Amino acid sequence: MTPVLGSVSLSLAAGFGILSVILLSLYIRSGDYRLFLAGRRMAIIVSALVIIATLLLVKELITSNFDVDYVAHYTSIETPTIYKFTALWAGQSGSLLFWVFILSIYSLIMIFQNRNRYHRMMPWVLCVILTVQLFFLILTNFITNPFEPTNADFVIANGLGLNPLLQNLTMAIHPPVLYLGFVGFTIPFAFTFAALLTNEKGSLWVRSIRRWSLVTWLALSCGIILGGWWAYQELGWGGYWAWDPVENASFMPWLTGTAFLHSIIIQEKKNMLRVWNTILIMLTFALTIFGTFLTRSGVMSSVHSFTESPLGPIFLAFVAIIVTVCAILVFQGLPRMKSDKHIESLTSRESGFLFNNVVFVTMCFAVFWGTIFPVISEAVRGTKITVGPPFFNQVNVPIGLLLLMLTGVGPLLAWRRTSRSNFIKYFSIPVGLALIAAIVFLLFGFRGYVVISLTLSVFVVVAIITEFKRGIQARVNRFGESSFVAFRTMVRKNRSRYGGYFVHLGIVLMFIGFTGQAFNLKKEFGLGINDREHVGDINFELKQLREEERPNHFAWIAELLVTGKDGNSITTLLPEKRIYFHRDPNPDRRQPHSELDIHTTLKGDIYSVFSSIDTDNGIAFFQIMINPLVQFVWYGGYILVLGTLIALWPSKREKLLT
Amino acid sequence: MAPKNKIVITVTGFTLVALFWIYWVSVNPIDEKAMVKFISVQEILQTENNERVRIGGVVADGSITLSSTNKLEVAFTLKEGDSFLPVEFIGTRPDLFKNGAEVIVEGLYQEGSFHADILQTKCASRYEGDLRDASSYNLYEIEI
Amino acid sequence: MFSFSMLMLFCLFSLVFLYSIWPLFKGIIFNPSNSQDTLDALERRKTILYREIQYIDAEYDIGNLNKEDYNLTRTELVQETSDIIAEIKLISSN
Repeated sequence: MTPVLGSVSLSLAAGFGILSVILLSLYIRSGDYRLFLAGRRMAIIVSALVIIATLLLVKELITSNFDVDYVAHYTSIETPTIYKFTALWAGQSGSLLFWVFILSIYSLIMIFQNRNRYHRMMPWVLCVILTVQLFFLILTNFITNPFEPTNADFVIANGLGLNPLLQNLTMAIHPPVLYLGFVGFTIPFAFTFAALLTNEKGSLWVRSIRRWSLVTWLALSCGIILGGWWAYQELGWGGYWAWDPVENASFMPWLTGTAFLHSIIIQEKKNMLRVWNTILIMLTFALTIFGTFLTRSGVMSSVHSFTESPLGPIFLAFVAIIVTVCAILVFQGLPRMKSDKHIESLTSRESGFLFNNVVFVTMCFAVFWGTIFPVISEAVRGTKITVGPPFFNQVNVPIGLLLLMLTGVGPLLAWRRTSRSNFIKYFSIPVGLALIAAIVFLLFGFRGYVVISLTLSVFVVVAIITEFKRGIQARVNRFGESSFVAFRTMVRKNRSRYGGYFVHLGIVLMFIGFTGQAFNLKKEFGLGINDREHVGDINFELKQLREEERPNHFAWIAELLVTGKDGNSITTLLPEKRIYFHRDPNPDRRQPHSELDIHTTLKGDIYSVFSSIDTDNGIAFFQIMINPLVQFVWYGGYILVLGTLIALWPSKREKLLT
Repeated sequence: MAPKNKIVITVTGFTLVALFWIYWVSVNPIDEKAMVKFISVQEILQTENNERVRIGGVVADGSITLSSTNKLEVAFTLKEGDSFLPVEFIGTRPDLFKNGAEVIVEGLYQEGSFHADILQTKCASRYEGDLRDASSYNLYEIEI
Repeated sequence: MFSFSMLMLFCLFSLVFLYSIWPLFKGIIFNPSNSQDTLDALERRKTILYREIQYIDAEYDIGNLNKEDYNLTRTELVQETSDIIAEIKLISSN
């Protein structure tokens, strides 16, 4: 009964959605407020129905109703309950339902927040959100319905289940966090679209969506970092970012979204860069739909799988429609949107924000180009060319370093224009210290991008510290507060800025972590008992090889003694080689898995993989990687989150305006 | 020069440089592994292309042979439809590498066999199987 | 074929549908759109301007704004604030 209910909910949601759009459109034409009220109620019902449908699917998953095809495919009786729940977003139809589920929750919150304001924009905002909901509802009603009954000639007693290799917590929370970020950009997009159509002059609505955008951005950032963390901890290749199309799909909207976040500050304060902001949020939203398309339609693995289901072309059509409509609106609205104020100087803070936008969009284009190049080359020349990490790294490193530099330069510039004396006053210490650092790094023997990266990191850190100092000093001078009180009050009165500086510090730490990759070492070798091998200055000796039979797998455990240059003991690593389904009579159904062991220090990680075992000769094969400074990436991530929370922390005065 | 013009020129200039840079790396990557052609088994057997290429296929059943001297060395046959390509690979084999696995190899074709330095198996994103195929079950099933 | 649950579902659906179209049957509602929105917007703009003035005072102290620009901008903001206060008075008295 409940699967039918679920399907019916989805159909009803689509029906109410269409009705709602009709009523709201009629309201826009006639101005009869009753139409708006009815339309809004229906929009609420649409979201409610989607939420109900999702809860019903969750119920089917948790109670293991294998009559539902989706449940049988992604869970089994043995699957732990939490992974029965997370199967909600494991498969295509479930994840699409999940997308519109999150959008529906966001929609309800947005409707509630704005129930008494923006009366002119709201019908348009709702129409945009409803259109997106309807798109996903069309997909889940007609193309991939999660409530589809199982098509088998026999009663399914147990489902296929989730691969035990995927049953770890990070893999479970990475998709929903990412979705919270992805989907969230629909709301600021809807508002911007509405403002464009209603010719909204004020920038008040920009302030309202700033919080939305920040929360969404935080979720997206966390989702991306979690993905990298999972790859590093679980996949065993020693890296955290492979410039994979799915990774790029989430990174591109992050880039334009970050630019948008920065740029709307200028729009709020100076009512400038309006055209930029409109384009940026439209791009970001289009990229989230495009990203969902890349991840879910399978177009990147093979153009053949793309044409098997109508899902791919429909997604692409939707993206094309969004881009076309937005482009037309922007062109039409250009004369109205252009600000009467202009950037007055190349060395102004406003100009810094403008460059910030340009560089972020450039990097986004570079990633986009690399991602779709294979598809284009296949379509145009018939040969498929895969674009690997070396391309992305080569293109993006200089652009990334430019961004790092801007992070430091921006805050040092003054509004409107920086006078020559101020320029010297503010830049001399950061630049001076950075140059000294550069000389030190060169003396240490570092070269090329490593030197540039580390020097810029020093520059940015010093710049941020001087920013804090100046702010504190100003308060001490004017209000006579103590430094500590001044610091607290200063941050409290301007959470966005100082929270933002913390975020920048986090980014600097991440860049330091990225730079460490230049010194990565990797070696593969076999060891018998008491054999030794070295990677760089570190020695590895196999002390023992144990076997253990466990509930759902069999394991070989290697005891590796790790010693340093002078023979001092660093640690003992215990990487494992596991076989899941080891009792299965069919050897091809047994699943080997390497359980890594990582020794983590601030200086670097020693990363060990037990890759295979030669039982006849008692030789264990290892892949060892030394990853210097990699922990800085994760610590940078924590600081980034902390900074964003500071910026988001509600203050009494914000409540008035948002 | 009016500041507005200075800014327009700087931004345009930077954009052009950036676009050229992206184009430049596309055609002249420093690392040969940046842009690699992806071709089929059939094509490499016919053209005997000795550029660095990527080939996808399935591990032919029973073709996996480990070297007796170097346990990190393996030879197998890559199958695509009715075309078969002998492959040699030295390195750590991915966990999912076995009979029938979908793999991608990257390397150079030389004298009748393919010397791969990269071996990748398809990501185990989910345990895909046909529900109607009774043999894909772990436990029992009831027939009616 | 009617079963009890189908009947219940149909009733539920009808109720929900009625709830949504109910506003259409009310008498003509005063559209809160224009003047309320404007007053609202003006009040908020005023609050924002007060904050902007405090903000550039702080920026000037820190040194992110030079004296000339500071005086210029402050005068503009103060002027805009008094204009808005006047407009608010005008609309509220209507």
